[in-house]
Amino acid sequence: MVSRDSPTTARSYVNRVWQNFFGTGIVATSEDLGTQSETPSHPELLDWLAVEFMDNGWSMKKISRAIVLSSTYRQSSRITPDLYSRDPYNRLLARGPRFRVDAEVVRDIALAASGLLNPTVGGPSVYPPAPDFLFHRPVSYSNKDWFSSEGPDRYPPRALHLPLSLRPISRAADV
Amino acid sequence: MLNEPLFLEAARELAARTLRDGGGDDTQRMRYAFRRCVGRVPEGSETDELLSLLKKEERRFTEAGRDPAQFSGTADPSKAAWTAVARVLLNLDETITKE
Repeated sequence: MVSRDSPTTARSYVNRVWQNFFGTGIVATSEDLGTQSETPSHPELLDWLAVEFMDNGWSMKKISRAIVLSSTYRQSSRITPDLYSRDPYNRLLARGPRFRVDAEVVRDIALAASGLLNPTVGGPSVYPPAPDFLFHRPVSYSNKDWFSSEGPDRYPPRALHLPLSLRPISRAADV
Repeated sequence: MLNEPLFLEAARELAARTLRDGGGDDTQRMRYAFRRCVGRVPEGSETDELLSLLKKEERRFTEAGRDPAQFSGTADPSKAAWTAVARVLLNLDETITKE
């Protein structure tokens, strides 16, 4: 899986790292790199990053540093009407990235900015307060009981600690 | 998601924190709260706009028949007005956009 003759793993990984910084991967379908996926916008860049990543011992930190120090990442995100009409989604990277964060992060930002975020990492899932309708048809497949935690668990850590059914991403349309 | 109880609680907590730690006057408090959400200090025109919202909300919550506690958990109209401002700040495009 990590053989240099089969760089799909490294490509897939750096593509996801790129996506974290730019909002969209070099291959936009980061969960599907293959013959049926979208083709990469910059195939040579993807390959260069994959090789760089392997050459540096698969170091997350080094590949992240290479990306954020690039002229591409450091461009201004200011947009002109001309640029917008030619490349509305910035797939050609003629400007810096600017994008709405994922639903989980919207939630985490609100908790962090207000000071409610519990910075603990790890441990069992937590059960924060949630509106009742989420646990009944038609939003839920079946009726469920939900007991909000009290005490320290009430203000949960980052959204990745939520039970899967309650991850904001599963309700992204509500944002 | 943005209308869930957790988001109201976040707004209440941001309001409480701003009143406690934000500084001696409303302009300082506004800069504090804005910076917690957006990560930069507001420009003059932004501060003015937000301060006029704060005043408007303060007036609204002192009207007869209003119950600030229903919104902010305490009877203090100022706390309720700040909670309303905090909801705006937490929902700004800039708060939830990465650039």
